[in-house]
Amino acid sequence: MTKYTVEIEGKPYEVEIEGEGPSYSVIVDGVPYEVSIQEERVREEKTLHAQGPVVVSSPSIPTSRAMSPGSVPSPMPGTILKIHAVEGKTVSAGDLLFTLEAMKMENQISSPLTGTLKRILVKEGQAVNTGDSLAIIS
Amino acid sequence: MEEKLKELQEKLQESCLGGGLERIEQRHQKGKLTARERISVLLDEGSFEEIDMFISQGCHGLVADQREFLGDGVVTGCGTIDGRLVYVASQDFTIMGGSLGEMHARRIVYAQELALKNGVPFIQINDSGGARIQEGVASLEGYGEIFKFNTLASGVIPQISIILGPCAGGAVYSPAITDFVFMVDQVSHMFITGPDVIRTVTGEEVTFEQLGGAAAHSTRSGVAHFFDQTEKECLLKVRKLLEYLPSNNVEDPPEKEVTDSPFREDESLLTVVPEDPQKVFDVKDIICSVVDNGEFIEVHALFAGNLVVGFSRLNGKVVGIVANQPAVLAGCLDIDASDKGARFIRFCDAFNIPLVAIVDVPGFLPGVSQEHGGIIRHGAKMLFAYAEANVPKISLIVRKAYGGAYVCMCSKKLGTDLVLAWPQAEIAVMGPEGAVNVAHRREISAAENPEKVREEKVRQYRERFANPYVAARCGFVDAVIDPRKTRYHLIQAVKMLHRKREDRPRKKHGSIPL
Repeated sequence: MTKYTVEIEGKPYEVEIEGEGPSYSVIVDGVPYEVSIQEERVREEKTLHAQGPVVVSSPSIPTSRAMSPGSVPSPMPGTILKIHAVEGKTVSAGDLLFTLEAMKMENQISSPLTGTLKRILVKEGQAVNTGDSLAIIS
Repeated sequence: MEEKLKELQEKLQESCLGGGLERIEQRHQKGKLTARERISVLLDEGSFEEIDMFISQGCHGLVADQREFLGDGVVTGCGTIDGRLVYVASQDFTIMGGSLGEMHARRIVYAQELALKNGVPFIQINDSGGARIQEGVASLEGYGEIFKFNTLASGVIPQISIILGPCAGGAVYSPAITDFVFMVDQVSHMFITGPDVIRTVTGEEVTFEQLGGAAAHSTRSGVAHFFDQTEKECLLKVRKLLEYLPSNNVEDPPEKEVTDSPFREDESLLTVVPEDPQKVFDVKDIICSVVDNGEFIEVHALFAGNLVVGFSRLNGKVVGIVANQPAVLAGCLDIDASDKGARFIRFCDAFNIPLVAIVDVPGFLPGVSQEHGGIIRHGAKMLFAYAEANVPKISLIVRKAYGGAYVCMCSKKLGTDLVLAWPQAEIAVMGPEGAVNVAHRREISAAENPEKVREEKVRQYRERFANPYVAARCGFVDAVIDPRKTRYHLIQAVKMLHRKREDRPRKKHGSIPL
């Protein structure tokens, strides 16, 4: 994994890139993207936004299928009450990963797929918003 | 005469073979059924009567080199499901990719017309490459006429779409207008613009399955109401759904012989809702406990899981259930749940199906994306649908009923006929903690021990407001019931309301905030 700090229009972004083309896993400020580089488009985009990184994709889709590596997005705004999983361990689809306190309720967040829990991106007590990535599974 | 009969036989056979044996064989190798085989799985054995078998583009005279196909790429007719008449149209992919031309459309529209005139369900099986390019604008007008009939028939007869192949471009709007859309994993694909166009225009890389597959439309877009693994399972589920639907809007839904005692009590209902108000539970445990034989056919099972909707029976009578699901998003109402609920409520209202709400709602989902996504507009649909509906409306409050979301789940004054509540129900403007923080902020912050004062205030609030008796005194709750006897009380409620008539001011139609 290579880390960069990229500055675009004065705003710094923490970028982590993993993989050897044409597909990469890119994490920009904690939000994971799956990126595939298409030669021609890259050239086009580069001339358009010379200073920025080239991202030809949208954030990962949290469906249970066709996600690898996948991110576990927060379904709603709230606070991480408890982390039930350990980084580096295997998880099965449906395994309890987090308890998220939201709307005065303890909501259970389970793994959407089976794989290795690569990273946990939040800490207990941390506030999260809808769509924030909580963990990465591959 | 013998000659004539022979000619008839030949033509009938030609029509039945569609695009020919070779293409039929190709489909079978792909594990797909033909248009006629699908009809035979869907309908009662031997009940299918085909109409317009000889329809063909040839009626206008054929252009040189053009081959004539009798039937024009779609099979239509009527038959029965559990002995009840339905009309069907099943597109035949073996004839010009099931493409829709003028006569193809005319054949479908005639089946729609007959379904409407007879007041029976219309079921279409979509498997088509789209508009027939060779026929130009005439095929587009064909779609127009189909959409118009779908719309005219909406709320008069149930309309069901089964997508068993591609359904792209304008073609998607006929299913979209119909009441229920069924899709099969890896078989059905629906989209307005396909992956190729999307790649050219926006540069996004997406497969057919990711873009418009059954999984995408069942979980994300909400276009599909039912998801299945195989064509056969899907067709049989359509038969199952029809067990709950009346043939038209002046009939009552079909009753079924009752094999489940209306007096059956369930001890587990005492503990199904956790005592700790922060803990979640699965509302389907309550639904399956109280309805006849635990049978519940869930609509939109994979979409907006925070609201559960579907059909069941109570003492043989069909009811539509709308329930908050605390296990998903804490049971909050959000944009998707509101749309899902509103559509279901309006369907039930149109087809004389009493509504039962099971309420445990902490409120609306907070967030900028919800607000800017138009939760005001979408939540209003649900309120509108509930207030407008004049079928019997029953609510059962099992735990939290807070704020505007409580009203949205059909509060008394919005128009619920009978509100039942379990003893642990909390009906209030907001939850105890939130309310105390607002109402006693100064007092708490000024106290020597703020936490202790807060706890005391929360306890007082619970006692004063967060119980069913405050609302019951005002007549907003009609009965506080023993959870174990919920089935009995719901059955009684349906019985008490089964002759309900409630007239509305005459109008062309309301203006629901779409």
